[in-house]
Amino acid sequence: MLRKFSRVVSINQTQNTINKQLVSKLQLAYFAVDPQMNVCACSSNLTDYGFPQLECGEPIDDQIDFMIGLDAETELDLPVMSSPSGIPISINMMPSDDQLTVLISNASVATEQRQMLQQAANENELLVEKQKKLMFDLETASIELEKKNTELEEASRLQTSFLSGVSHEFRTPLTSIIGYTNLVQKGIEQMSRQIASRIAKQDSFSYLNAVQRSSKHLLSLVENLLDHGKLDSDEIFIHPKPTDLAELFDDVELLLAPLSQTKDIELNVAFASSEGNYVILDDSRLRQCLINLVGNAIKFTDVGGVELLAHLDNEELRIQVKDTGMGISADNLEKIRLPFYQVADTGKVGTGLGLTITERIIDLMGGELAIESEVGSGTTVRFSMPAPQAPQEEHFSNLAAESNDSLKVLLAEDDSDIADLVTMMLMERGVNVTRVANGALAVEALHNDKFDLVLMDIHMPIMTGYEAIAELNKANIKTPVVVMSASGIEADQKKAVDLGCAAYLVKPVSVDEIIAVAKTVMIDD
Amino acid sequence: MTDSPQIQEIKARYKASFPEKANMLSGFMRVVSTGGELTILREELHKLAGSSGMYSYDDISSLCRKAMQSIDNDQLENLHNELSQLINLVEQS
Amino acid sequence: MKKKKICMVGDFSVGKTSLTQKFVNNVFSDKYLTTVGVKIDTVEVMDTKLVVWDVAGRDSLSPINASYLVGAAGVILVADGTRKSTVEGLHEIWDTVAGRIGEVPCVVALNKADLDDWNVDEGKINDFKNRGWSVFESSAKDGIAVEALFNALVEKL
Repeated sequence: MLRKFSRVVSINQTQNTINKQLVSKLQLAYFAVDPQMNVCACSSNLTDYGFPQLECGEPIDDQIDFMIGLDAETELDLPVMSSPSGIPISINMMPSDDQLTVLISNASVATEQRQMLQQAANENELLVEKQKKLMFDLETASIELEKKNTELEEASRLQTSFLSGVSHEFRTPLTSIIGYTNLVQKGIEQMSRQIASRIAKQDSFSYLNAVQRSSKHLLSLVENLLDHGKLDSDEIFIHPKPTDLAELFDDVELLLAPLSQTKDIELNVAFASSEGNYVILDDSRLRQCLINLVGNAIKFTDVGGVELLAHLDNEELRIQVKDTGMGISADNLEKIRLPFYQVADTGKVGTGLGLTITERIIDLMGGELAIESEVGSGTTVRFSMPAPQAPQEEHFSNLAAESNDSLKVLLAEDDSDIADLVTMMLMERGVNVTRVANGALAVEALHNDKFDLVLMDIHMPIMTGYEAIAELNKANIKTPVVVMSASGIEADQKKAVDLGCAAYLVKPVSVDEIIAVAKTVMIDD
Repeated sequence: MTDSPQIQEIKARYKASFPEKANMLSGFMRVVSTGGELTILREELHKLAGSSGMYSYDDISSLCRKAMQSIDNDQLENLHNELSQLINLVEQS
Repeated sequence: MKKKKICMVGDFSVGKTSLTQKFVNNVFSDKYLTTVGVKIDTVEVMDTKLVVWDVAGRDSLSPINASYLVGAAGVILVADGTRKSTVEGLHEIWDTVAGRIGEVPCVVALNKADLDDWNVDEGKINDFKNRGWSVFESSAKDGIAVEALFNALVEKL
């Protein structure tokens, strides 16, 4: 309608007279500007819409804001604009050769309708969007919930199977203990009734051996469980000390051979070294790992054999445990590292903790466990760990092994609580102990007297252990020194080794450990 | 193997020193809360870690080590907790 | 005094009117009232008389009427940071702007930063920045970054 009307106006505008009656009837207002954007004509009713009365010859953009930025050549239809008075207006700009005519008309009716329609449509669309978002959130939440549920089910399944596994594991050795003790009791009854026969005695011995085996197995189960508790609370400590690797692997073979014999499979343990057998590492933790891994391999192998290969080279101990057992599927390879996880349908029992603990211990000892496996053809487990050479080779004193009487030890320790205990315990083993409370007194004692061994604390007043050792080195006193310190820090251990100490023991230290170390570090000359 | 009477006596003596040790540690609680100097506390913890370990109070020993670590890493909040746990533990042992 | 026309553009209900009213008259209302056509306000920023054309948002009934943009020296692209589609829609809206009046100076307001369900990814913000646009996380309600975004545009004009 506006279009039609504007054409009428454009025909008439050249005559420079506009039908004022028509203009006022439709509340039509107008103004015109020249090509320089100065006002050249205007209607008087512009003020009805809140616009100022225009001054001819003056720039339009000083007088009407919406003209700012516009030029005289562009044709424009602006269907709805709020006028300064608040009345919605429609604007029509029509350029011609010598001027731009701007028509302003009342758009109240159309705008009111549009406003209602648009408000309703947009509110509706916002609601739909909100609904979609809620649906999405709901879906995400339900997926999350389902996942949590599955995880919980899995955890509870693992725990149940763990409990049944554990109770089974405990029942087997317990039954055997009860059974064999019964037999021993009967044997003893027989012995008391008749004259003790050799056969009854021998039977009793083998029964007692069986009881012992079962008890040891139970003990290791309990230890595994305890270790797992410690795993959770990060409380497993590694205590490296001088260790004879050849002996350690012999031990492992002796311990596990009976297990492989009962299954009628081969067990082959081989240790090779290019630098001697004597290294510093935590032998009991390494033993624990090997028993776990080789024990597992035997457990899951029914035909063929298990091979434990160890190689010491360049202060690194590399270990491989290979079996010809049932193998592990790729899917299960991931899961067996989880605590309590056990592959279903293997017909094997256990706590499902061994591998988790082993992996953690190997990690703490500076190694990494790698498992390769193929279903049906077997599994290979590999790891390596640093194994620095012990400062002195083993010189085992047979004399000292049988009796500690020959041992004369100087104990330098400022903490009287520790000194009292160590002194008493060593004395009870027949060791001759002299006590001093600082490094200076220790150096003095060694100048005046001969000792087989010095047990040296590090943190001491007046002169520290390190300073005392340096003094001894200077004075060329060669008595072996074993450092005892509460510090497990590697740098401290390295310092001790650099100073030529025979061994480094981390407190708490047991007396057995002290005696064992004493024996290994004493030079048999 | 059971301990000889002499060893039992030494162990009892050590145990009898616990109230005194707990008292000493409590004195450091104030130092920790006010952000004071911790060198001496660290020395005492080091000593206690060593001796309690030798006497098979493993939990006391490991807590001492944790607290020492907290001192080394400047984790005063942890230290505060560990020290109060330690005092409890020493009192109850 | 310099006189410049700028336009607020973006999807419906992102806060174009709220930002304009907060900046020009320091008022805010939580109630949604759709803009029909265009509302014009003027304000002085530094040495410039700014005529702000608050253009009706794009909605399901109609696209942006580009006629309103003619003569603008710059635009503020406004999106609702809690409605992803309005942020993603800015590229298309920019095409409308550039198609009609060329690549005029532009700043982006990601509005409603006071709300919890904010949903704008860093990648999108980087997209905008790579085009040379300043990006503001604004709140007409709390007055956050409102002045800053108008000032930033005026500096570019």
